Amino acid sequence: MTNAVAELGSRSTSLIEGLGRVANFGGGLLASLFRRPSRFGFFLSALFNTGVLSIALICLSGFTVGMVLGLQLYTTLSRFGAEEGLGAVVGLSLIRELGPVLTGLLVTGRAGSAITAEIGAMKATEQLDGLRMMAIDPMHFVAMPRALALTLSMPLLNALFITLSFAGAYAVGVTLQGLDGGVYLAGLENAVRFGEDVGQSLLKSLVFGLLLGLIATYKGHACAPDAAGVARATTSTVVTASVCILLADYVITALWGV
Amino acid sequence: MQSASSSSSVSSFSSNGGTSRFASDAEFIELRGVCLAFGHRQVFDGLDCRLRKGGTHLLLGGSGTGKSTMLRMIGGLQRPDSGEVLVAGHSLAQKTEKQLWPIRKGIGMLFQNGALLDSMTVLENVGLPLREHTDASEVSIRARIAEVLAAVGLEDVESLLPRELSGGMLRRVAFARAIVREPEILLCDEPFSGLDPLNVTRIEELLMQLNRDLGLTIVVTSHHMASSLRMADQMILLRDGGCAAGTPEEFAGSDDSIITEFLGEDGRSFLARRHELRDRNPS
Repeated sequence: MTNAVAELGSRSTSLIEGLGRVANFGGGLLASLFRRPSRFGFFLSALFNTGVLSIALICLSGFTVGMVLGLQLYTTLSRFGAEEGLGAVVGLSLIRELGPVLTGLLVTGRAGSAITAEIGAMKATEQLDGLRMMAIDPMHFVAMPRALALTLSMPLLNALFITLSFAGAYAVGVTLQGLDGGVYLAGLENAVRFGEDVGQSLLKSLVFGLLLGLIATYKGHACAPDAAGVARATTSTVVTASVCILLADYVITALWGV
Repeated sequence: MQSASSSSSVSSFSSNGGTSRFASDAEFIELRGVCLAFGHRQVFDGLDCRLRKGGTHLLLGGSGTGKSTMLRMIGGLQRPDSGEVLVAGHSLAQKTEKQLWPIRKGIGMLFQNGALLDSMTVLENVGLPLREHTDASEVSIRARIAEVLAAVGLEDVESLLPRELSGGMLRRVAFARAIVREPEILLCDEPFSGLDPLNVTRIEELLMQLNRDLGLTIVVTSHHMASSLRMADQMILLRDGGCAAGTPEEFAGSDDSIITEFLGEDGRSFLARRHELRDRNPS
């Protein structure tokens, strides 16, 4: 019993310590955003790696998700004779929830894990120490451009995912199932309110990008400097970021008002 | 591409107006009562060590005796559990990363595996300290890079990435990066490992030239005894958490079994050569 309490205490302390370290790292990242030089070249390169190279995955996944939604919702709605509501349901579910969450999870798996692995490998091969010995701050040189790129690319990828999903649902609902295209688009247009729905979607994806950027770069910097440590950190990034994205999604939805 | 030229000269590239980055000339590098443990393994247990300014100091010791760790402590990358590490009078132990930057600008470090940034070309890697910390023009930076690369025997490698270099070339590029800003202290972790005999001689001559002409304080870990004995002013053997220090002559003449074992045949021939020189020229 005493051991269990001691273990619980030790784990709680490590959790609080860990949160403190993440907060400290986040503060450092934020401060380095305003330091000179701007590292714009590194930011563009990171934006290419996280954003441009994720486009194919996002397009394919978005279109497929839209097709599945179109098929499932058309079948269900037609049971109640309400198939003309397809555009509205697809639009709201994708813009409010599925778009930002699925984009967040996909980018976590593709770009977030890659960033942790890259920074972890740099740590294991003493590249970060090499920078420190040249009086160059690895936080400013390595982490900040990558975290910023993740944060800014997430809303753009989210918009792309949603657009491709609309196309997927259109392809199934209109082309295959025979729903009128005008009805689908009118339902979509009437149901979605720009400020509320699109604003919420963009806010969510921005927050998810911020969380992923922080977690991916922190895990890379904090990993044990060996192959096993890098592997553990990469897995941990995917798990932690996915959970944080789902929790943040609930919090934003609850605060925004459904 | 290796240069056929054996010349290894490197001129002065003064990015700070020729003035010393460090104010103090006293015991330039000093470790006082340093204790450090990794888990249960005690690496240093009250280590005291003084390194003179402008000297070439060789760190010796078996695996795990803390040679690389000592270099990292001098660079401020590793903090001791207790004790003090002083570089030109600055105690590093209590300094924050930001406070260490001015000190590190005066230190060049060659890591054991090179530690080159693998997403950058040789040109970008070697030029990085200059681009970050000087206002030098791109033309003079490129000229300086070409100069230091030639000094380490490399030509036409500027556009290559580290993964496109052999192990020996990679170490020489890392060496070029360590000296490109003309540091006042050069920390070299196994500078000769993975190099062919021609390049061992080239790097050895370059180190001696930097020490002689620019007054660099050099701290080297090496198992290449012949080169080390020729270069070093002071040899430091790390063992049992502490150290034993002496001149190469004292080490070569020592009857301590560990020292004798470390120096091996190279120690005996070094001593024989010194005796021969002394006999020829007693003054």
